[in-house]
Amino acid sequence: MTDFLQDISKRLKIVRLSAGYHSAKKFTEEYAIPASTYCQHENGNRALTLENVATYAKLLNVDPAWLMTGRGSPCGEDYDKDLEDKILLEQERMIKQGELHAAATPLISEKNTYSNVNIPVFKKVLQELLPLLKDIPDPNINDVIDFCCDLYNKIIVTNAEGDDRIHLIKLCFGSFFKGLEIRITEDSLKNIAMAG
Amino acid sequence: MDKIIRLPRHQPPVLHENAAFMSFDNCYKLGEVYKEIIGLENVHHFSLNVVDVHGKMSILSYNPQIAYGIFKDGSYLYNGSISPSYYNNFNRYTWDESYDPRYYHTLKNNMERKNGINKGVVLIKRINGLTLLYSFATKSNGDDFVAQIQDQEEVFYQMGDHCFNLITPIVDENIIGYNEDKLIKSNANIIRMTKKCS
Repeated sequence: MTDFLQDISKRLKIVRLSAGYHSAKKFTEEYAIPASTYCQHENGNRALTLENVATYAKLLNVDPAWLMTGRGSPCGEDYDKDLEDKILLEQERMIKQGELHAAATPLISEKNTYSNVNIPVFKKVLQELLPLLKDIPDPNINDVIDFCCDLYNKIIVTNAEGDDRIHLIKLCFGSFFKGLEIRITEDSLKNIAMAG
Repeated sequence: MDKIIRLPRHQPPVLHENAAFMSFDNCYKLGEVYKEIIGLENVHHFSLNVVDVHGKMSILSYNPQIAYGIFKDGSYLYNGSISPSYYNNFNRYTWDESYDPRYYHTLKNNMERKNGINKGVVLIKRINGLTLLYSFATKSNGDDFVAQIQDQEEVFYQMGDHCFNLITPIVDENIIGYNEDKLIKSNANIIRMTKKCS
């Protein structure tokens, strides 16, 4: 079975455990699902159909798109924070252990008309950078926009946190202004980095 | 990543003190230069890694988060694509064939899948005591990309040379022992010495 299908099976198990069903038997008995079939689905020995994915997603209260692809939020529109936290925690553990493949992080790309974007992060990048345009002589707006998108793509993928993340953002902005030969104060760089 | 210490099966790289941050620190300029080749010949990522005369490796990457991730979690020790065991003994190899088999899935995931990459290939160039790793990667079909590089290796070397020439100020500033006079001429692959500007 391909890695893609194996990952769906693994996410199914993650969700089942996170939803409080400590055994597959308990889950299948509650919903009168053929146990043998479900176990094969969860073990990756049998491919799930779209109908299977939709059914399990509904029963376990998760977004079928997430169950299928691993992208986006596990709980979708019917947001259950507790469940989602448990799912993400287990998913992260499995990814770090190499037991589950991380879905490619959605990035901003000119090739895509649409993209999943972390709006709060992107807004903060823009909020801090745009006021500095007045310090840039004859700003090339396209360059600035491209840089914002590039910076977003870099920081959204990196697993840096806290001070490390701030440091990386600071370096990137410093590089930008260095490239434009504009002097920028440490305080301004720090403010921008904190916004990220 | 396991907390149990496992000795790498190949020689780990000796990293420049600023290896994890150098690409971020120069990301704007590197982006400007590398964008000239990104999109050509199915290249979607490029990194120029420079091993100086002291054997220290610097990373100048279009996607610095890739290198940062493996440095942060320590998995770089098991990534043969930046190991002297590979770059000192081979002129061309793929990323994944150089991964330590015990960490294959972790590296494949963190280096490639997480970034939408299907295949990475490293070409080696040795010049004036430096070892240059031209590391290309594609989001297109991986097998086709490998075949493409095999068939058109010179084209990819020229792309690497072009980028190297344009980032010499960054190399000069960040890498010890590099002589700024030495340029690589991509059309004939000839190294020409130029007079140092006073």
